[in-house]
Amino acid sequence: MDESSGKSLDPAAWFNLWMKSASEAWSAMPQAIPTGFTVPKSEGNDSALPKWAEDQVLSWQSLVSLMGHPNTLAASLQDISRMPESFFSLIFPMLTSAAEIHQKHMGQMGKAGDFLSSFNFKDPEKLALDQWSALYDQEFRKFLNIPQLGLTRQYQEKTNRLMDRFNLLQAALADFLRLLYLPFEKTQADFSQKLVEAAEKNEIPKDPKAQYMIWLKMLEGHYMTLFKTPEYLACLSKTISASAEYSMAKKSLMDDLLKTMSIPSSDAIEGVYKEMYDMKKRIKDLEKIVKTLIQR
Amino acid sequence: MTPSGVPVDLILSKLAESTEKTHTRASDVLLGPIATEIAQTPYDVVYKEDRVKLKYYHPENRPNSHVQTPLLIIYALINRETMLDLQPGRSVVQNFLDNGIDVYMIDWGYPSQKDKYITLDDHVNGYIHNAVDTIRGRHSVSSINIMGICMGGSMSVMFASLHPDKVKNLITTVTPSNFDTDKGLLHVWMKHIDADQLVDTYGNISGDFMNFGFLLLNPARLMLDKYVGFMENMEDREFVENFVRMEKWIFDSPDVPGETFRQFVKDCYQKNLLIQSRLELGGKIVDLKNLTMPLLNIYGKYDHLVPPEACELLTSRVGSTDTEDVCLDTGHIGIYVSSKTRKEFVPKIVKWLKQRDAESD
Repeated sequence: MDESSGKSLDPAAWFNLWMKSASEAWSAMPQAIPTGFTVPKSEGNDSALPKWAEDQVLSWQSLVSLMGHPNTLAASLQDISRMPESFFSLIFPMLTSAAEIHQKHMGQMGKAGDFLSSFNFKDPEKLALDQWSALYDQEFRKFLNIPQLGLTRQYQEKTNRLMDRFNLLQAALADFLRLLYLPFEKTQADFSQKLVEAAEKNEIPKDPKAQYMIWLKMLEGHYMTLFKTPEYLACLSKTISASAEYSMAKKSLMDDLLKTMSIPSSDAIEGVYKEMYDMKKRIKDLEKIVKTLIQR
Repeated sequence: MTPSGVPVDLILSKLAESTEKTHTRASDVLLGPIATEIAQTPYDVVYKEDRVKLKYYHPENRPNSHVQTPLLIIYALINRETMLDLQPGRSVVQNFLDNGIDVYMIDWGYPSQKDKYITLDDHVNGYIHNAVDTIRGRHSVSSINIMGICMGGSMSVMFASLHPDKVKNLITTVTPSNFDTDKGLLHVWMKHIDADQLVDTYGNISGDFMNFGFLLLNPARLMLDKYVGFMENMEDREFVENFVRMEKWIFDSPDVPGETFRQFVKDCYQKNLLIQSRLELGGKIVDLKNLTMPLLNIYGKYDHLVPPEACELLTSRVGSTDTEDVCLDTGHIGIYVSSKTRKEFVPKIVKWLKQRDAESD
């Protein structure tokens, strides 16, 4: 890249050029509008324009003549010329930090390869899911946790949380479904082995139903074994928890959306339900007391 | 590579032949009229509170030797009480009526989100208590017979402990009271459930969510073999009708009120407080020693939801000296719907109640 092309891409130079042309346009404006301009009048009427348009023209005329006054113009242009300096002093750190984040992001993306280098192909499904979970947790998740700023910060945070919880739920579900599929895989292998052994002894059951029952019992047994393993219990618990956290994040964002449409949020309705429950309970208790008093 | 010797072509041709035959006949059944209605025994609603109804079944053709004390059946909050009245001729309710028992049953209805704050205490000391008082008033008796089913049995135990003077005889069927066992998968899984998170997130616990959990207890049988069996028997109208009735019942699962679920999971499944007489309801301790009334405890030998280990401790922990354990060769639902077991189950209860009815006379 040569020097001239580098200069042409300099945002500061671009902005200065734009501000200069804008200043010149404002300077030329008073000359473009004649100072002796009057609102045209038609026959029989004081003015050819409706009253509101006449007022607009007069206002515009006053503004232009004020802007055209040498003192005002000079003062305004002085302020405008200072803008790029202050503007850039504000913007540059933000752009720099954004660029740094982007650079880090790209760097982290590059690190994804580090995870794959340790990939073990003995149990590819499990390892792929584990690697993805670790990669997401260590490298991607932090970008969704960057503190948000400004008026809309809490909405952005809630949106990011929803995305995060969705990704975690997907990972948990994938692992859960992988576990649920394992008994099928194992049954298939065991059943094939059993059939081959039976065939060698010429004892293979010719009735498909009998074969199906052997396969089913194997499958049932493998499921029963799986369901008691600590790995399955941990995965079940994690999946249910991930689902609950995703639902909570979705509910939180949805509640904000409902508020903008003047529809009661679930939080508001739950408050009403709680009040109803408490009131009903009090009424029932009072009814019992009244009945007891009447009986006496 | 040597051939395995498996006659795959023969197996597949046999399978195709039988499938074709079955499907030809099945279309006649499935496209024709089939009777799949459930809960057909007539009843009146004699008490209603919020979503909860108290059903009183019409005592038609009452035999001379009827049981004087009315019976209240308390079903679980999971699935519906219609299981006891699936179809004419195979209805536990109808069998009780035919044997001269006045039958009441609580219909818990379908909790909505507004019911999420309803607690276990509200169920036991509120709805059940009011239903019992209604029956006592209608029959002018000081105490009634109660039969609890599954979680409804646990609630019956709680009620009988807190109001022993209002329960004449107690029958618990497939009722978990000792939750500290790893025999049933449900007991194992429940220990790993974060009930607080579920209730705080969802409010009520959805019936579909729980049904999915029940299906996962034995996916090979409940999600696969069951429907293979259906495909094989589709040409049998009676089989199809019974199958559809059962499907209707099993997937008609109301949500469970959140706060009730929270306490039941934490206090019963996770802390096992009921059997230790440490459970607290409405500020009072549920002391099993208060159960001084006769107790009949029935459970299934092959119950995968509430295994015998979860049921059989109860009789040794109560204050009553008149207790009996009955273990039937069946599963959780089989006790009520299997034709073989029904021949033992209802007659046993009727005989047991009639004996105690005679003793109190």
